[in-house]
Amino acid sequence: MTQDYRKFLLPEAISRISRLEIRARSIVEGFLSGLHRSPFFGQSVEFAQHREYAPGDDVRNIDWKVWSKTDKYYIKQYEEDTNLRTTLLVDVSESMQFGTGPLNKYEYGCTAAAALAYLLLKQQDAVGLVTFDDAIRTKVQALSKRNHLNALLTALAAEKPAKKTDIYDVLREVAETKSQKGTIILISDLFVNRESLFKGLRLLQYRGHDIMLLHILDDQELDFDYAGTTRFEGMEQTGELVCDPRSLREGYLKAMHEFLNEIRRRCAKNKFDYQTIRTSEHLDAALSHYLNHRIGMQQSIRK
Amino acid sequence: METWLTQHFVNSTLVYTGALMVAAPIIIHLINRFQYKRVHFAAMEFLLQSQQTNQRRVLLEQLLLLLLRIILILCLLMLIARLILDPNQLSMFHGAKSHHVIVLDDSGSMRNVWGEQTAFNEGLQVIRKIAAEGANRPNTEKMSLIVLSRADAPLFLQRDINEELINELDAKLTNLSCSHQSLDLNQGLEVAAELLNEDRAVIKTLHVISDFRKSDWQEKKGVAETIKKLATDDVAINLVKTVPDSQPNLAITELSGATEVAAVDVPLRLRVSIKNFGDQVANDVRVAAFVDQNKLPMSIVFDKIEAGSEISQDFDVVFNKPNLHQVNVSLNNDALDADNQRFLSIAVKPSNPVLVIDGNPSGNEWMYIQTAIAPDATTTGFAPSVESVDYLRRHPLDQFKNIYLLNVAELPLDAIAALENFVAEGGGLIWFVGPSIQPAFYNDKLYNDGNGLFPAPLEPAPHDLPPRETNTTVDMQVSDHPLFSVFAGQDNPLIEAVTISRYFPLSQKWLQTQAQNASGVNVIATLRNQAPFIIEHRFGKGRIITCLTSAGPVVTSEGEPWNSWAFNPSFIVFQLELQKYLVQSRSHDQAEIVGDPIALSLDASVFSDEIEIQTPISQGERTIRLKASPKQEADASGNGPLKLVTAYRETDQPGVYSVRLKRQDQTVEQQMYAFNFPVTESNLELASSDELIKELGNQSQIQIQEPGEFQWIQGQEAGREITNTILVILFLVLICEQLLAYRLSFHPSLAGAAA
Repeated sequence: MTQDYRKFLLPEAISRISRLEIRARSIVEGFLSGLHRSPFFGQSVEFAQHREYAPGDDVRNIDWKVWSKTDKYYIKQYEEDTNLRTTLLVDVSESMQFGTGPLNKYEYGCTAAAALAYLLLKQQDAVGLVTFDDAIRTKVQALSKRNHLNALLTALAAEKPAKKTDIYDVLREVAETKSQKGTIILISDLFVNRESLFKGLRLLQYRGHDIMLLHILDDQELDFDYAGTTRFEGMEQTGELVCDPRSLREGYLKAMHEFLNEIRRRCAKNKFDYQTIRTSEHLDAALSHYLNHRIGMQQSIRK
Repeated sequence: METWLTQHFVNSTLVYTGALMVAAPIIIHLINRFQYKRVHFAAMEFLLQSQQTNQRRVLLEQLLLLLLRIILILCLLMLIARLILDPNQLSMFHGAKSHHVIVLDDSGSMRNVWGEQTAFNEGLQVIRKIAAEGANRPNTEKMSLIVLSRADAPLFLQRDINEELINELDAKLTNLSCSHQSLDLNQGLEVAAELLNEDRAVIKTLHVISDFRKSDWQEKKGVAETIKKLATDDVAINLVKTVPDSQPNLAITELSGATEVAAVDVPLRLRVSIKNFGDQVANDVRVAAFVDQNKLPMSIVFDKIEAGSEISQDFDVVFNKPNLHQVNVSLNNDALDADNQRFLSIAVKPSNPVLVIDGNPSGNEWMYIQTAIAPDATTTGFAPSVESVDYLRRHPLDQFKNIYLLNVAELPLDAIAALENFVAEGGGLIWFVGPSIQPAFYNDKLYNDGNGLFPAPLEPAPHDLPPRETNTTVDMQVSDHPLFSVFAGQDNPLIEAVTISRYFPLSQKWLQTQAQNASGVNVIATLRNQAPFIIEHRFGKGRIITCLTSAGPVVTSEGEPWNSWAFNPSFIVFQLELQKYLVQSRSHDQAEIVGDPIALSLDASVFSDEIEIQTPISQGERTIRLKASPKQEADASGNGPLKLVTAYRETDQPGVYSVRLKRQDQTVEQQMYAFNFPVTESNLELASSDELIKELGNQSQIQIQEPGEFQWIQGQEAGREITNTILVILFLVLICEQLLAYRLSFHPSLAGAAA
């Protein structure tokens, strides 16, 4: 069993991405000093502002130099750095079981989740996990302990997905339970109702969460290289079809493009980080590219 | 349906298989529909969406592709089964019980050699090919083969074409050789028409294999008529030419002479004629002559023979022994070999006996005749014997060639009967009148109202011809009769010197009233006063020459001779010519044409019924024994003499056939018959295709096939146009199919770009 859930933690991939860091784009409320900006002022080297003393403030923060000149009590405020509370939302529905390469989407998604979890834990950030299909399957509390990784991996491995994805309820539930601001990383093929997906994501964003979308797709889903008469059986009771895939390919690719474009467009509109990842891509390469690219992006401003 | 198929496809049996092949694309399509891979697929949403929008297009494209593939198969099927749109074009081998009647012309001209092939062999090759093609479709083809020389007995009659027939045909054709005869194409066509008319239910094809010579074609209208009639009776007609071009040809058209009077050691003058049938002048033509297969040490040279003209030359042959001899002349080889030889059989006798009856025993007229025709037995070959009138009653006359009756007053009735018999059998009779004759007897018994031996009634007494006043006129005026051919010409001193003083005129009454009606009585020489002088007429098979003056210079009571002809050299010439002329009527034709039968009718009291016939040397000199069958010759009493009758018909080979007849006393009589190639076959000028079409009208039923080409037998000719069209269609369909298939299929390079 140990080996089973350990399988998502690929040593090569981990070793390659171990020097990367995941930075929150918005301000997150962590409980440890860390890499990420906190909405709170705290002990830091970076001066932020002066504020008039009010009773109850820590007298240690009074700027005596200002008192000596103005005879008024001002206290110095410093930026506080905190740790990141990240929740990995992993889709384990039936459609994720599809795959033509060495890894199916579910496996790829889990591996990505494991790698991210490792990375986050390594930089002292707290990582939680929610797996879902039509409803939340498992929930792992965000902790920043090193040995928390085991719990995450166990939760990933234990899933036997079989249900249809219905995402709004899931997202709403996550939003309700995760009151602290943090990062939500959704790992899914996004074969769900787009309206409910973005409705849920916007809800999370509204709650102050930083949203990252890792869109896992199989090569065949993107390229549709089937030949010969084929009977396609839908994985989530979406019906079945016997056809010559070549004749439908054009239409399929067109529909797929529209789908991807719509997602991309709406993500950009809502400032969600979005990345399509093919299961045939090397996970480390895909993650490195994504994370490096993300660091270069515009930092969000403090509210 | 089957009939339709066989009419429109050369290989109709393939059509059914081909029709099954049409199902192949459909079956493959269906198999593909049912044999599919199962794939669990996540992005069904998009797939269904695509299917929904493309459903109709995909269906149409698939159907179109299926249709194209079916058309492809159909095109291939039509190519392989060889579709022919117009069944009339498919003149050969329609399938469905069809009857091929082949008429093979094997007349002498088919021996024509072109290249290394004779026209006849080319024809045989065509027959073999037709049969071989027919054997490819068992149980549908029937064949009849009519060889023209045996038109009444077809070689094959309505036989199914199969392996067995082909073997038999092969054996028969190998043994078949071209005849030498002149044959009527129409005869074969009529037999063929009869055959085809009997056969109502089948598709009928007539193949006429011939060289189509102009002379066969244009001079005998019946051929074109028969063919046209057959064409209107819905018979497809193939005129198969076996010779590409007209070829020059030299032929010996004549070898003749007075062979009846041939005698030992007497030179016999023979005439050889050569005709140039080509369109170019022939130079330095040499003819070799052979006597009894031994070449004579000379050759007859014709320096120049103009195109289309015939030239004759004479040559003399001397025979040292009495017997049957054969003479033949030959030319160098050319396109047609058979006419480069000509044969003549000659019965050479020690001498030719001639009977001279002198009515005036004291007279010496016989002497003039005897001196004229036989001054010496060896120089002329005639042996005259002078007898009295009584001889006619007591001795058989048929040993004599000719009989002279000189100044005979009267004849006993049985002598007249014997003479009539002699002449009727072909003997020659010569009358010379004289002072002794009794005109009343002549008019009554001999003229006998035109049924007797004397040509015309005489006046009761001889007349005197008044003496000539000038030298410009001649007493004897000759016509251009062959007898006088020697005297032909403007100035003839010999004839001019002849004086006729007294003659017996013909009855004036007869001349005025009946002369015109007397058919066969021909005045061949007249006197100065236009009175008839020498008269020729026929009696039975024989000829009679009547000279209305005396044979010798009989002196009248006035001391004047009747004429001075006997002293003139022309008298001798005339008598010798007369002999040759008169014997011709007795001889059978000097040479027969090949194919004519040797008909023998023998006296049963003399001959036995065993007959041996020896064929010419060139045919291998076989000896054939025939048995003659007795036949009662009916005469008035119904009780005629018993005859032995037989006929030998295998006389196709030119040459001399010798017939040995056995007499009852076991001695043998030999006869020779020379058979020659028919002159009509020597003209090798061909009727061109255009001329044939002109003659026959441009009917689609009638096809003319050029020599050396056999495609029409397989019907290739017929379907060629449509084949090309189908090929083009096939090519276009293939391109369309490929383009459509490319459009409908998946291509990795594009796939990368799309992703």
